[in-house]
Amino acid sequence: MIEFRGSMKITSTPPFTKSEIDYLVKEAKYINEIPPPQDRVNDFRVQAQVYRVADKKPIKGLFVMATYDKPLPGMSGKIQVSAALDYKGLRIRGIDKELWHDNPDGSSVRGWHEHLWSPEYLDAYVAPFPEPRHKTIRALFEAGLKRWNIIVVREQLRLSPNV
Amino acid sequence: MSENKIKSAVLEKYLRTYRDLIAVEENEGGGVTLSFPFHFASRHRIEITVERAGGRVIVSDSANTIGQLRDAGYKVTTELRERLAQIAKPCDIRIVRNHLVMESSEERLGGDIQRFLEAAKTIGDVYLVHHLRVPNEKQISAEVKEILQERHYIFKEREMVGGEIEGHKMDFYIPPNGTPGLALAVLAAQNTHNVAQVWGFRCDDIKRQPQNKRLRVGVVYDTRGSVWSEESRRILEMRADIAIPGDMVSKELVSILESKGVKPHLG
Repeated sequence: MIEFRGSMKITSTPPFTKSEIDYLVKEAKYINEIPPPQDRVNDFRVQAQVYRVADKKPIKGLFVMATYDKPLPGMSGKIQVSAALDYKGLRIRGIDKELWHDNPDGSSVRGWHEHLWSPEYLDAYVAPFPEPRHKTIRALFEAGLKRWNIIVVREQLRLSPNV
Repeated sequence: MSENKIKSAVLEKYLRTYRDLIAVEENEGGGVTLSFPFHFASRHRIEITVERAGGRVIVSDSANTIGQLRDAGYKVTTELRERLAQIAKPCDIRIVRNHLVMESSEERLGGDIQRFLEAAKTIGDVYLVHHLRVPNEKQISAEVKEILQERHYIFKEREMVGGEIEGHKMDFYIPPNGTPGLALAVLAAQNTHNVAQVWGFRCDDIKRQPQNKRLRVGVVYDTRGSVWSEESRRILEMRADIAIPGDMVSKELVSILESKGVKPHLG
């Protein structure tokens, strides 16, 4: 099978089909708790293993995460916060903001959008996503949970930095 | 139409279109973000932020390039950052936190933005163009499974095989039954040398377990999405009874199994 990435052609068979991924996103899932953001020197990251509700087992390789890139020292810059659903190292869903995103089919989306994985275009295809009211790492993480059918088993007190 | 008129008409059309393809947004706290019709190999546009700081003008990518690599599955390690810094240095770009940063001035800004765009695309594409984000583990496993089924091997998938020290999950397990059995793992990874070292240990550990005397330990390593150095391959070949490159599975698996005495249970 031929896979297209940008202007490049790469011969490779994707590890899963679009319907497998769509099903994985739609099925009921949970995480045990929202972990506090990890300070990773250059960014903050919230990440949790996702479990399947049906059998209460972890879905191997499925992680929900949000990342906040620390701004340049002394600069205001653009807020760089995003959420992602990663499956076996691939971003199968993602929420972030670009001023302008060109889709592989020729359409374009301005502003906040959701990345939708497919074997042909990987995460390059996006659909508009409502602008989150709060642009903190926790707010984006929660937006991702809601969007991708993941509930939180137990809520945790928020003692972490408000980023 | 004279030659000069054609030139200016073409140039004008191009510049008007180019201008229409640029999006600009003011940021809170000053500065602007611009989105250009320049795309990384991952199809994402290149966005840059321009901000005044004291008497200088700072051009940055708002951590977008490293973000692209991260989304592509790269672990942003110190080593990766050092390599990116080396690529960026000739373009007068530094890496601060996750941001590509260029110091410019009011006079040089136009030219510097163009240089920054080209550099950001080069830096990103060095990794994005050649990076296969899709490991072929599943495809290789399906291929192995089909071959084993066709040849009437009786096997289990995802089976724990005991070692001298600990148990190891193997993708395929053919129990010994008068003839040698097989424990086979399919390996696809980015960090291939580490994987080779780990599996070198695992193969040894399985073979040292006295109960596994009649068990052959094998690995099939992905060669389409993963790059294995000579040393990594040597580790696998020396430590496993069977080490087959992923692209040779259909040609070699059956003959190698037979040469190692692993025979089908039926037929």
